Amino acid sequence: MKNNITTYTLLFISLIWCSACGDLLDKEPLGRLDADTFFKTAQDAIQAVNATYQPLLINNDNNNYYWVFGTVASDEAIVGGDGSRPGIIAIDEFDHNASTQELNDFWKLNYKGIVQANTVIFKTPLTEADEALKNRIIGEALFLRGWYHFVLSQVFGDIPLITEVQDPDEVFIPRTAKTQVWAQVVADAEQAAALLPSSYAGNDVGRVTKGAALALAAKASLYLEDYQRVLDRVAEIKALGIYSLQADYRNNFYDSTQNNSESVWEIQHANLELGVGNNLNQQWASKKVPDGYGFAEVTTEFIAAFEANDPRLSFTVARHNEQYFGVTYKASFSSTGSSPRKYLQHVNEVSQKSDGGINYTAIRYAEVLLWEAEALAELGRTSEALVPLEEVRARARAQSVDPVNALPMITNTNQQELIDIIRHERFVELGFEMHRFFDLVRWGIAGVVLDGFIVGTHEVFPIPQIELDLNPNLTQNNGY
Amino acid sequence: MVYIIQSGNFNDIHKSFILPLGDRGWRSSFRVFRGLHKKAHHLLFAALMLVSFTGNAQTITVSGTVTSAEDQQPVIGVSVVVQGTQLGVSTDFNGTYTIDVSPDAILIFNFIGFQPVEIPVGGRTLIDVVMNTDQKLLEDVIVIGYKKETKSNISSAISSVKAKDIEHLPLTGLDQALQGQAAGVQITQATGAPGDDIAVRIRGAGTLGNNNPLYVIDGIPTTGNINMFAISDIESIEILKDGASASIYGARSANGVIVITTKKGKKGAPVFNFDTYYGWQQANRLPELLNKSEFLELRNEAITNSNALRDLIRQIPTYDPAILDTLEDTDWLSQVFRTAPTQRHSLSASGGGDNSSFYILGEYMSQEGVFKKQGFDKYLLRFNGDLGSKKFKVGNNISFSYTDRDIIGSSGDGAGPGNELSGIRYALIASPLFPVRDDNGNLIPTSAGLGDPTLYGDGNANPLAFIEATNWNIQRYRLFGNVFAEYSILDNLNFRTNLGADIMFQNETIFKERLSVAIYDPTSLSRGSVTDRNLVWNNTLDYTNTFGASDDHRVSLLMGMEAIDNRTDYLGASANNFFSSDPNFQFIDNSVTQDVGDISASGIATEWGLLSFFSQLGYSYKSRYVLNLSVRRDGSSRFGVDNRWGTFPAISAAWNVSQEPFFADNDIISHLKLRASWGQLGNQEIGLYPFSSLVETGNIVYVFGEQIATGANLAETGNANVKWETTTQEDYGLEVSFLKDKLTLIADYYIKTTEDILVRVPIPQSAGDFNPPYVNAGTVENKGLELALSFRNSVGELRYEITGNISAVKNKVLSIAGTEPLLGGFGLSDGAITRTEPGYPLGSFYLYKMEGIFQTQEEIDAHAFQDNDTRPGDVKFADLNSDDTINNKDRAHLGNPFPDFTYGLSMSLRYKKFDFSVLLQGVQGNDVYFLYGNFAYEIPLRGFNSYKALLDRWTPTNTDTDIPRVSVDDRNNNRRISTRFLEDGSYLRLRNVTLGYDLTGLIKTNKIQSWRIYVSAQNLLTITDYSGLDPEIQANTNDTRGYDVSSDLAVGIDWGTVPAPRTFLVGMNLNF
Repeated sequence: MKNNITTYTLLFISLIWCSACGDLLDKEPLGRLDADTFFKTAQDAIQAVNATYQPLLINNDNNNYYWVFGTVASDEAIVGGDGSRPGIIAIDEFDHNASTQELNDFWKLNYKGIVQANTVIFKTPLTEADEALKNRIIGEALFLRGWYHFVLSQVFGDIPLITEVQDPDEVFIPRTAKTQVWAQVVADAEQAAALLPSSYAGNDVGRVTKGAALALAAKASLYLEDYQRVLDRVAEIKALGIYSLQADYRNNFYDSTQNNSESVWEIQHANLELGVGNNLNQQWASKKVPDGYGFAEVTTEFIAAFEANDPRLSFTVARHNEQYFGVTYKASFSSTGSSPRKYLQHVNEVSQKSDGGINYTAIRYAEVLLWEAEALAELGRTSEALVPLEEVRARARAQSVDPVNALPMITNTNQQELIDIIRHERFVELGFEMHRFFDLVRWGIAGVVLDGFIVGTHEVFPIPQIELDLNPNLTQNNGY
Repeated sequence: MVYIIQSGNFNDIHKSFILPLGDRGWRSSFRVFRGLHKKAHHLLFAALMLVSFTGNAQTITVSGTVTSAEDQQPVIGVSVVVQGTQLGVSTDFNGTYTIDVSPDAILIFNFIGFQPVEIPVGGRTLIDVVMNTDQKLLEDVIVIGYKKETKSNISSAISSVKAKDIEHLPLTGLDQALQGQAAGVQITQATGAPGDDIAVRIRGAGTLGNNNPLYVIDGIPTTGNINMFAISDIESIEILKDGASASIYGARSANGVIVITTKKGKKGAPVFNFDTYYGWQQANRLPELLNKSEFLELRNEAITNSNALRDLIRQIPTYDPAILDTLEDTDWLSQVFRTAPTQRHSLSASGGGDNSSFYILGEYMSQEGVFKKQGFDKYLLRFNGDLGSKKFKVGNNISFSYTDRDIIGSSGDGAGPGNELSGIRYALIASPLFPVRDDNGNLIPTSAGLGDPTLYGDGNANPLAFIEATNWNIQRYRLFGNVFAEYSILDNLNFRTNLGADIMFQNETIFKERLSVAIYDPTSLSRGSVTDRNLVWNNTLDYTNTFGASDDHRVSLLMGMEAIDNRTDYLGASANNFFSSDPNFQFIDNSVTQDVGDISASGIATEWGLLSFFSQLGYSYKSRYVLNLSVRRDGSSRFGVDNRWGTFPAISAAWNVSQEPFFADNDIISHLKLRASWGQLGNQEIGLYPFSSLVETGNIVYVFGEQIATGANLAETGNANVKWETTTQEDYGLEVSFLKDKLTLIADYYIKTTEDILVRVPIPQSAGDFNPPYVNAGTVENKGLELALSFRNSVGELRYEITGNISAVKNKVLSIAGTEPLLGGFGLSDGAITRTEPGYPLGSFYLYKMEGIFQTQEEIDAHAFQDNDTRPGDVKFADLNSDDTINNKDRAHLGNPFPDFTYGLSMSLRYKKFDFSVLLQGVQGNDVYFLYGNFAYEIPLRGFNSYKALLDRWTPTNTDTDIPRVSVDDRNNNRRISTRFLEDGSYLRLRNVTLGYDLTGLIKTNKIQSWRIYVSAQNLLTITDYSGLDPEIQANTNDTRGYDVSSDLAVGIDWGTVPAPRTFLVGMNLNF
């Protein structure tokens, strides 16, 4: 009897306890949000779109090597540095291959932005945000999706075009021809332009504007050689009435004069020691200044390209005995005798060399004017093309030590000659702004200008080996 | 001597809280208390330098040797008790005992597996005893899941390591105790750093995820950090290898289960045990690196070779050898390695009465690293006790441990996802021209200030300065134990309830003092604390009975439930910029904050739960035919609601052929058993919330209006449909003994198939740069054969025992969902080194094939196209797809990290007062990818050092070599991932050699039961062709891209490591 009592007691205790067992297995993730339930409030959508901007940063976390392709691979610069980045040396010498690390870094970074943008585009409509805010957020994400696709196609040519939120079994997708990618970029950017405001105030400055979206549509149209569309978009940009050239060219490259009237699409950086500063301040600084890496050194070809007394030369390049952010520049600071100035700051302005505060002016109004000139010239409307060209030259001329003789007005209306003049103007106006290599390729003259460039291969860089391994549906570019 | 405690005042104190046990309980507890009091006296005497004792006038000293009737071997650990008293001793290593008794006492000799013997002393002083084996207790009792069982009733594959197999070895950790001891268990030390993780694989790697076994310590399951337990504590280790034995642990059993039982007190007089050793460790097998003149010679040659292919404008100047006269010639390895002490001291006491037993242990262990500033200290206390009758008993096993580990990153992969910088990497690559100190005697922080990066390095840290600048320490406090109650409802029916807790507090400190703009900038401190609370409650009902005429039918039934609840809390803080690097000022409060970003805090918590019900049914007929069935049903919080529960059945059967009547009186075969088993096992180690797509909020993402902007990133995609991965294992075993058990053989053949394997399938980076989802993605098969052989014999006074084991596993991936290969080994940008796909082993090396070295331009022209800049002296890669071009399609599965077989061999001899033992362990036929060869056999433009073996590189005059020419540009990409760096990782290691001498009797006292001193050497010799630092390689985090799982997809990639040290020890065991 006593045994039975004990047995029943034990069974009873077990039963009571086990009625509470059910909870044991219901463990929701603590402190982290589930993607399916996250998108609820307006704030959720804002947070998600904010994260979509992250891959734009040219900072240490991102390993964003856009400048290596745009500038070091071109005739603007050669790689200096200390040899510690063999990939940059290889790209400079067109000796890169599918294993070159900088290529994979760039691929991964920009697709991260695309995936985040798609999440925002498809999840924001589910939130409680008001219609205007939803439109703005979706517009921002559409632009960024287009932007990331665009820079990827500049570097790799044909790429996977991803415009959906993918399920885990739908991710092995092949490449899309770059012209189709650009067409999608134009469509995304034009749709974004319809959704976005012209400008922002306060803590939203730096978000994508209508003008930026129109400019991306124009730029992709230029790559598609759809010149009329370029002109249409440029006209819309001008019609916004908010853009003009800065009187001082250098205002585009000072920390204190950023996001000005010339700024159309500006990638934001700040020296806050939070990892959002630009590292060009370190990568491009001469290795003879403290903590400088000297990974871009100015070629003699670039310096020779400037007309006499063009002030933009000394605004872009530091040479012997010039002031150089708190020190006097010496020819020995670089193997070529000169170093770039853009995106660099005085030593006292930043607390850490790699945490520069200067934004990257990805599209400024001067470039919009040069697109207009280029499109008009390509369409044979050469005398009209002279107008925007002169607007750009006039600003530079005004800053020259010899405004009377320097940078004479262009009057040549021979189509081919004018096209060459406009191309030259892009070279000197936009030097070291990461356009040159892509321009040379777009114009089909890279093989003429660049040593070691093999026509038919080096127009694009190889698809990274890691990605080829991960996605068997990808093909490699010709010659790699 | 008998201590009579005349202190009635204890009664009042103790009655109050022992009352619930009733009068009987109270009495037994008093005995414990009295026993403890006695121990205090013993300790006191021990402390007084073991002064001689003289016996009481009424007693005589009896001594003798206990041997086994069967093989005439001495029996160690036999309890010798005076009838009707608590007085008792145990036999020592030689089977001898000494006890003081009254001349008319009766001695009772007791040992498991033998029939008890009672002998009246009758005034004799020498009593030798021969004990007969107990046919009812034919063999050892084995601890299996949730209960104990006699060996003859077991029908599954279980390896057992007993205290006596390992207690004479000076081991530092539990994992070492298994090394080479059991067939089918492979132990790999990731690095030689003290306290570093050790990989334990039972019967190969069965899954693409977590392959670590489950540990069950005194009935409480746990994973990881097993080095926090004391080797001296171990009573036995049972390894449940096959499906049928492990299946009772259901969802956590797929990788095998290691059941550890700690020591308990034995009935009899208190026994004290003092174990101590002290030793010296030295770095082993360090490579020879280039000295300064060789370094410069090769550098000039590499520059000259590169210049031939460079534009005029980009020519690199060579160096005048005359500069060497003024430059340093630093031997970095001798700077960072040292001879380091190691020691362990433990003192234990055990004893017990009719209704109680206890065991107490205190241990201190310390191991400094052979690499400077590495070290591991451990303090441990244990108390195991129980109290009560056969009817009702309450007991506990509690250990408290504290470990303190100083770390310098010692896997050569260095900085990567989740990795800190590595000291050994800096030491291996530092240029010999890099001076240790400047003219003022201060350490030069990095090579950045020295000027020419080609000579001195590109800003890599001075290894010594790096060590000085790093203070990385992990302290762990762990309370592990259980309280149990056993109630005997009927004679054959027992109920046991067991409440266990595994509570760990961890404090991690990483202080990094700024070395340069690139390394440790700014000076920072991060502190992390982890509180891990694991509660386990299990209840079992165990019934055993025999039926029929002469009890021919034996039936046992076990039913039980188990609930596990885990919560882990993480709290971290970090700060930048400190005014001092003094260790007294390495606290968050001492930071000099300059910006809001200088201090940050983080915290998160995770939870999981497991609820299980299980049952086991055993039947045997006349001990000839044995059948066991078990089933477990597990519910795990880690699975989505629809797939939460899994069922894991098992069946096994055995035929004890030697129990058959027709087998009787067989002189040759003394024991023969055949067995077969089948079981299903689960694995739930797949992350905590695999069903959920996670968003990380509050990340710093961008700048708007010159202000920081936070954002919400997609961090991980989930899969709501994940279900259990299931391992099915069949096992066929044979156990046979010959010549009265002198020679025994255990053989097992098994097939282990894991289906629905959960793995994070790497997806293209175009699908996002976050952790990919888990999917049930494949099937992996392991087929294996294990043999364990032991032979015991004696020739005159020489007694010896040889045991050996060998196991072979063939691992093969049968299928992967979606047929996309899984990649691993991402450390280099050349793409993945391993590729896992059907038809090949897990993590098989996927490489270019090196065919040789091009000797002439004609040879290059005749070969498939490699590169425009290929020149004689470059590596010739095979055109595997015959398309006349060498590109990434010319890679193939050319090696795998799994050995053909692994083996262990131990020998122990005893001759008079000497004992000698040797333990050899080896693996054969595995491949290692020597990734560090990228530095060791190359001259990069950066001033990094290389192996001296590089002097044998190809030159026009030294063409008979397999090392290509040196070139700082390496335009032919000689260093691409190829068989050039694939090496045979086979090794045979002399793990341990120990020579002991028995000092018992040296001092005239009968208080000392045994006294032994020994000298021992570990890792004395390693026979291998492998050119890396240590052929024991595990996976690096870089190679798995920081994913928290799937490390078995990238095993055997060597980035350079701190090798396992060679150790010399002197030690002593004293029993009294």
